[in-house]
Amino acid sequence: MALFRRILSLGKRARLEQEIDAELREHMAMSIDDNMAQGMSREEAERDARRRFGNPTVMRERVWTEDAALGLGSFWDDVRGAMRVFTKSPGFSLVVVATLALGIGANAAIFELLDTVLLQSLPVKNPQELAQVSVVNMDKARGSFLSGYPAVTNLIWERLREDHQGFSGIAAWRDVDFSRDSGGDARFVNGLYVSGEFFRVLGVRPAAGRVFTAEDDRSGCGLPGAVISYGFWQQEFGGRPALGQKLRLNDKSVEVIGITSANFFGVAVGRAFDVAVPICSQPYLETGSLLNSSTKWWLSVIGRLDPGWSVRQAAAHLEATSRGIFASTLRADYPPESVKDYLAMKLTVEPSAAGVSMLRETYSNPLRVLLGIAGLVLLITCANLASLMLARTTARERDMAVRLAMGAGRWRLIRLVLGESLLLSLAGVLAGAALAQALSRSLVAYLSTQDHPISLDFKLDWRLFAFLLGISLLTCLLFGLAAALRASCTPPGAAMKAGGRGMTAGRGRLGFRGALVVSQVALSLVLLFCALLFTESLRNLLIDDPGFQSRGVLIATLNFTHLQIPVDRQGAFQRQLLDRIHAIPGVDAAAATGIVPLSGEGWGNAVWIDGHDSIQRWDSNFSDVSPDYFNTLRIPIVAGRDFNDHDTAQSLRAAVVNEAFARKLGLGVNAIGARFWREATPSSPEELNVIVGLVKDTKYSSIRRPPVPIAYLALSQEKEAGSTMQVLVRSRLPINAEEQAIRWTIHNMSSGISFDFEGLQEQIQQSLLPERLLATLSGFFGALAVVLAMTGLYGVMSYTVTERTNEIGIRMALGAQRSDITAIILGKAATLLAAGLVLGAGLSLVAASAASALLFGLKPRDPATLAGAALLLAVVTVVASLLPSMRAANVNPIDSLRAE
Amino acid sequence: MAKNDLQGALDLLILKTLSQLDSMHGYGILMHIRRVSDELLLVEEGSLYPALHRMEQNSWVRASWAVTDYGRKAKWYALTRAGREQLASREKNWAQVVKGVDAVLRFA
Repeated sequence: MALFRRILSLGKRARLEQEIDAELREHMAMSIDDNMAQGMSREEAERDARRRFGNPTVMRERVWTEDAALGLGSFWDDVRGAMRVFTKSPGFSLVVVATLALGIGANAAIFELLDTVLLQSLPVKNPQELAQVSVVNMDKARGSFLSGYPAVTNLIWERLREDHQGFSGIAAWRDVDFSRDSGGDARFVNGLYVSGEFFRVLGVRPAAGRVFTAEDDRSGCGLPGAVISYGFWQQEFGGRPALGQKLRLNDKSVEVIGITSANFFGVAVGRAFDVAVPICSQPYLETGSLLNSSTKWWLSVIGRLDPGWSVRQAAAHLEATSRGIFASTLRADYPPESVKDYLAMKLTVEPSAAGVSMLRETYSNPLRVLLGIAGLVLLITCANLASLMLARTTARERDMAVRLAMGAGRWRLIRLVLGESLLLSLAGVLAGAALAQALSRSLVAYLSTQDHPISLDFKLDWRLFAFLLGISLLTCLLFGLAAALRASCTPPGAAMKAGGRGMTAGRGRLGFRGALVVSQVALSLVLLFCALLFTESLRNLLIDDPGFQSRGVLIATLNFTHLQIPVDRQGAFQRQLLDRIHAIPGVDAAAATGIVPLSGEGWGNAVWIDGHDSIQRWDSNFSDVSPDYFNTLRIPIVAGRDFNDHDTAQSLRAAVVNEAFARKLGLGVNAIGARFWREATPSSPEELNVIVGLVKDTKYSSIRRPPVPIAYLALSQEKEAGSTMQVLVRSRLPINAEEQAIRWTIHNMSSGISFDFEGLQEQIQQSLLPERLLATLSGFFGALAVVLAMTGLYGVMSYTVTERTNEIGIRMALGAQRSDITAIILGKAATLLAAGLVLGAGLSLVAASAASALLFGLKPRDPATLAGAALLLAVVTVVASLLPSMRAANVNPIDSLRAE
Repeated sequence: MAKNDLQGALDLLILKTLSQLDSMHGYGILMHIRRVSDELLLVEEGSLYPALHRMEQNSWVRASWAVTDYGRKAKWYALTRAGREQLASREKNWAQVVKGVDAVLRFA
């Protein structure tokens, strides 16, 4: 109650004063009544009462002070006092706030990224009701997997659309690139195929025009219209009226019928959509319909749960009805031997309030590790500031002693110092939050590239605010509490004595500051160790030999769909294109391939040796290549031959295999001439292959995985060549000149061919972005930690020297040599350092094993790295303590004693 | 020796009075102390009210407005549990102060 009244009284001083006045007035009245009852006249009675009462204003003030003394009223006094400290020592405050801003800014930036990528819900109505449908045992599925997200076939989606018990609405989507050029340099937009109900189910309203309805998404619809995003509207039309305007997508014209609301970016976090068209438009926009195939897995299904249905109930229902769904969606194109697996597949439902995200898969672990690292940096920062605050409090001991002597309570002093810390940390948080905005955006810019742009919608949400508030209170307590407690423990008598300095330093005081330094050194070692591990891991990945030479190789992606070349002449056209590119002066070698190594693409099939039972089959990776592929990538041919012009559609399929494949066959070099079968696929029956060549092992889809068995097939023996091709070009020209030469060559053949270039080496390095992010940022944090540890130790040692000046003077007067004094001070520093290193080594090993999944080519407990980190830290900190120890050695005994 | 300040005497007097009277306004407390001590102890208003308000902030007493026997509205004070505990410790403390002062006076 009292506290409640105190809070109320904050703004109600006037009312409180009235109450006090009333109380005192009544007192006077009673006093006068009594006097008159004893026979005094009214005047006499009043005079007597006033005399006894004294000055009423002074009285009221005194009573008011009592009411306010313990109240929040004095809180403002604390704040004002703290402000005064700021204005008195702006340099100190600036250093503290800047240090805090750095530490907090780094944390907030990484948290903001983590929040946006991992935690935030989709910007749609009631996102918590959203759930996605996925296949439980996708590894059993056969066919083409055209989406990076959980996906089903169109046939399965149509069944789900008909019967979606448990969902009030259900929708399907797939992200896709639409080309916007008609030859020349390729330009793409981020497209979406969506089912008719997609926008309605998500609750997305149009900002202009209309969104699709079920009526728009009927098979054979052609291209009924496009709904564009707000961002694309701004970028493409500059915000001018766009309804009814035409867009060209994949060489087809489409009318804009609607614009979505500004905050809706799609359902994939990190990849904002530009243009959405109905699913039924797919056959019209692309060659080859995906609509009636049971082997094309491309549509992601998202639904809004019925009120009263939980995710679990919906999942149970869908699992129970899975059998019927799969049985009714099986088509003749499904490989017969896998039909049993297909029928045994199950569908399930998972919550999807946060949508889906490739970024989430790639960056969730690195971001968590980085947040941990940034947290450690903040801890070290706090330790440094705690030391600083403590030193200041010690300097203000007399001030505190005077306050104590004047009757201030311990709590009052604690509040005074904590108030300062709080104000400092709040200022630090404000500056840090501002810094974080810039930092998180530059982080995204760092991760985003021209070919893989990342669009993130940063929002200031309650999580970030809670994070910032928590962090500010925590830092305030961490760095302010020690100083506050110290201040409140000041013995008034001792501190008031002249000089206030004994012959030797109090052990306890340095003890605490020493502990701070030890923990700083320990944490710095952890950070340095992690930074070295991640850097070394990145280096291992960069210098890792994938088995081929990526330097100097350009990937040219060519698309001649516009030319509408008949299927039977596409192969010849591709060869012609390749020959032209090969003929460019400066080009050493060029080859076409279906799978660019280390690009993340893959093609796997089961194989077995001819003559063996097909039960004894195992999985191999495949690639289809043109002659000269191995020369282009400098993959040595160990035995046999490369593909050549005699490998045609009429001859037996030739295969070049790598050594891992031959080992798996148990044949070694004798593999040449051996025959193996490749299983039937949706597009081809079982096929017999004869091994004509053996090449060295190379890595296949990712540089992080060891080499795997690979069988290369001849592109010239494929039945359908297709109208797109990927050409690897090795040349001596600078990359720009090379691109320009290829542009010219292709343009001279036909202006209807579109092309896109990327360096093979750049693409591989691109795939190492998570590692690069970890190495760069942890390196930065590690360096920061070392600097902080250095200043921490320097501060403590300087303090020790100042405090022990008398002692040093006496020692020198008694005959101690300068080297002895240096040894004393350095010894002290070495003790702290050693304790910190031992503690840090233990912590490092724990921390590193937690991060082991993110390392490549080295063990998390790598002793050499740990030793290196410890050595580096030791050297740096010893250097930091050299200066104070030299100052100690230069103490003039006469001066130091005279000062007493 | 406990923290035996003579200043604490006023608090003790007020607390004790309130424990004897259950609930009383400031003027009543003043009069009670004066009457019971045979006018030996005269508490000044200038000390009484700050003390009462301090006790209220410390939650030793709680206050409420009520009408006196003579029809005046006054602020009435009553002991809380914390106040009673405070009184007990103050009483013990006071006994020691008296003993201590007595010993000093008797020292020959």
